[in-house]
Amino acid sequence: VTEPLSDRPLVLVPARRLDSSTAPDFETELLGRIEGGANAVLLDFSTVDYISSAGLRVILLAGKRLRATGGRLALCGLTEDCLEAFRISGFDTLFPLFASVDEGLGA
Amino acid sequence: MIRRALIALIVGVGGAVFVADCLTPTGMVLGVLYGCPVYMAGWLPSRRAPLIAAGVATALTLASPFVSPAHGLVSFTIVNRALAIASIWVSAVLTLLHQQARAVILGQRQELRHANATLERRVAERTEELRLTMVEKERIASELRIASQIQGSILPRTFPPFPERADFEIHAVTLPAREMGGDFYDFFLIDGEHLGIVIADVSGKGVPAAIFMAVTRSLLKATALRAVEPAECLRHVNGLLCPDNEAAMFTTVFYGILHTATGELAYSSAGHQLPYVLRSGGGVQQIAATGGMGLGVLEEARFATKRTVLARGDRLLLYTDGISEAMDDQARMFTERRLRAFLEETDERAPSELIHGLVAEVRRFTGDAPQSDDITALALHFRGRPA
Repeated sequence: VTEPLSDRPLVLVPARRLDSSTAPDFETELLGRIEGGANAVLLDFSTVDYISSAGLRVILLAGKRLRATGGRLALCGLTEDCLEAFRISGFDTLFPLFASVDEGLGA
Repeated sequence: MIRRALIALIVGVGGAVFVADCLTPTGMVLGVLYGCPVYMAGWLPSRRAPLIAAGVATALTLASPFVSPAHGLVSFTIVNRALAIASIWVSAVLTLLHQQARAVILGQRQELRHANATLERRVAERTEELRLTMVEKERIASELRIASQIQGSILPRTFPPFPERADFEIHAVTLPAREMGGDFYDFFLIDGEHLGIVIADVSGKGVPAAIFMAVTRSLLKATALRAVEPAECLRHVNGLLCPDNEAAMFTTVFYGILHTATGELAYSSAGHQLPYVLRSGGGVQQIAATGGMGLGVLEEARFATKRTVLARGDRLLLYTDGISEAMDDQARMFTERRLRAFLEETDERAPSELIHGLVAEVRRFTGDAPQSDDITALALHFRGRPA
């Protein structure tokens, strides 16, 4: 499923490094927004240099929460290193990945 | 007691001045000496005492000419009495001001004492809080140490693990970044000819990862010992881990079964880095991907088994991203490239030496930077049956 998100999704920009030390803040922020009613979330990864399994877990958690309420999660602008982490873990098949924010917004 | 003595003293001094005043010619300004008892009255706690003393002194000054035996000029008497009375009241006013100033100082001193007492109490309370926190911290640290030992002991740690087997040699190490880790390795003989090898990495680290690791490791081994194909084994364990996985924890796993008679390795990866094969004749290759996804992510995830063959003398290195993503103090990563370069250049033969060499290489790279993730590696040297 790679059609662009509709309904003006919420665009979030994670920290430059998503690892065990930054993942808890990212989790609080992301899940808080979802609980606050955000139904479509686009994560702009263009400035993220590194994502560890702790970061992947937060994205999985957010994806599960959104799916449970009929919402959607997508990512865009993944750097080569992040894309590799998504490919190895198989997460590239779980979420739509777009090249840019514009593409993700369907502009 | 002190107050009474003080009043007596004031009355005594006042009386003495009166007597002296009566005995000297009325033209003398002896009444000025009343300033003494007036000032002394300022030592009493009452704010009115100096005023009362001044009043009494004034009355005595006015009375003394009538009882005084020596009479001087009337005009002198009037002027001097007036001077004496003026000085008495100046003394009274100065005493009052002094008394006020002293009251302010006393008040401030009391406030200071009160503040000190409050501060001391707070310090005592905080110290107690801190002590309790330290006790609690020590308790948790002690539990963590024990838990860490338990975690260490559930993985096979005796090397060489199969001293009677000459057809293969195995070595593994796991170095958690914290007390407890989310990485693990495992190996076990499924039967006389099949060796199971596992490496895995739980999302995150620390205690939550360690608990998930213990569950995954047990499920994997229990399933693997039933001699199921790698992909089937991973699918089964994934099916057990997915339901009720509220925390969205997951484990990437590489599971392989080596047929020790032929060197054939059947394997499947659940979102884990693919092992490297170090060919006996030189050359390093990463084995082919199988697709798959971390265990615990998606109930309907698919896994595939692939096969490769190890020739005699070939070595296999399983590792976690704690190696490829080890960071130096500038947050630069060790990378797959450096790992591959190390494997291409190393002339270490025995699995234990290969692993120690690799860990040393990673440590050289990271320098003083704190270990960013759990580091785990397993090396297998396939020797095959003696010809």
